[in-house]
Amino acid sequence: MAGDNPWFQNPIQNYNFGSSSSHDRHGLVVEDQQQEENMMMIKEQDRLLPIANVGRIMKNILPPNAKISKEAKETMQECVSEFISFVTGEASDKCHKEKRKTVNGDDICWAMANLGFDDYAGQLKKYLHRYRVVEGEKANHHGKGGPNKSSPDN
Amino acid sequence: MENNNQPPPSYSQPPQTESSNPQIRDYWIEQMENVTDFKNRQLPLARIKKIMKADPDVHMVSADAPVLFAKACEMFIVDLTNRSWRHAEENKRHTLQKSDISAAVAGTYTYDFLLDVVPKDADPGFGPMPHPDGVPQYYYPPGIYPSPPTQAWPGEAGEGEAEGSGRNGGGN
Repeated sequence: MAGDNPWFQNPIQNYNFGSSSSHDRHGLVVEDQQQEENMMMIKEQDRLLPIANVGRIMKNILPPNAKISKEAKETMQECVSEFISFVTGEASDKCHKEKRKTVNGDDICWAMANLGFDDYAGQLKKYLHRYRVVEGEKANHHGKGGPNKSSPDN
Repeated sequence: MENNNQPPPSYSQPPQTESSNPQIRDYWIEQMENVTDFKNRQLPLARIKKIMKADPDVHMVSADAPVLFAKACEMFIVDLTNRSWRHAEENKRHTLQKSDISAAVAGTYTYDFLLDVVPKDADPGFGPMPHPDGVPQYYYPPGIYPSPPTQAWPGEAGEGEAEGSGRNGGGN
């Protein structure tokens, strides 16, 4: 298939479902419905952090003889995504009230403290400070024309 | 060079309260203060950013926000896993189950936002869930009842009662 990024191509463009499209009782063409389901499956994976990464963090904190059921890992994936959405929503509200468009690290720390995660907020502030110091040093070292430090995607 | 890939302290005793386990907190503080490499981390930043931007009210996200969330999520997973494990230990299990996570969520008020994600299931505990009618959880097609033993026990000639014989019943 052309391209190797599954999110930007129709995953079933080469499929032949055999029958010509027919309308189900909702008026939706059956083939479109299948496409929609496939896209929803991909979107479903997008909204969760990888199970391997999540499982690894869980495993590291448990005793050596502990096992983790697959269902527990999947549940943890859901919980983490919900955590991100929950805190982001709070941070976003703050930005909106202050008429700012960009959600930054300070907003995230504030939102966590506001939602009861005081322990996290305190320690994360140190982390954020460290990040800014280190990244700032790197930027200075490489000069203004250096690597773009504002691109977190990898 | 990389300080933030050290594994957390090995779990030697149950965490004392909530997230204020000093052993774990010290670990995080050391991490936060000494980290130099922010690139090599446990959770993918691009995915975190995607989840953030799934919120229609979120327009732009600064570079440091996903970095911060990657660490916050790690802390969250560690915290929730610890609490869940406590529940598993109470039930003398060595496998962490979804029900343990449910219990941890139900028992921590800061996790109230997760109540829809992890509804409180019945705790399986040791064995199968008791049937609401008190009858053991075995399937019999309608109209068919467990047949009494064909061979009479000594001293119970002619009785052949299935109940109480322990052969077909005794779900617990």
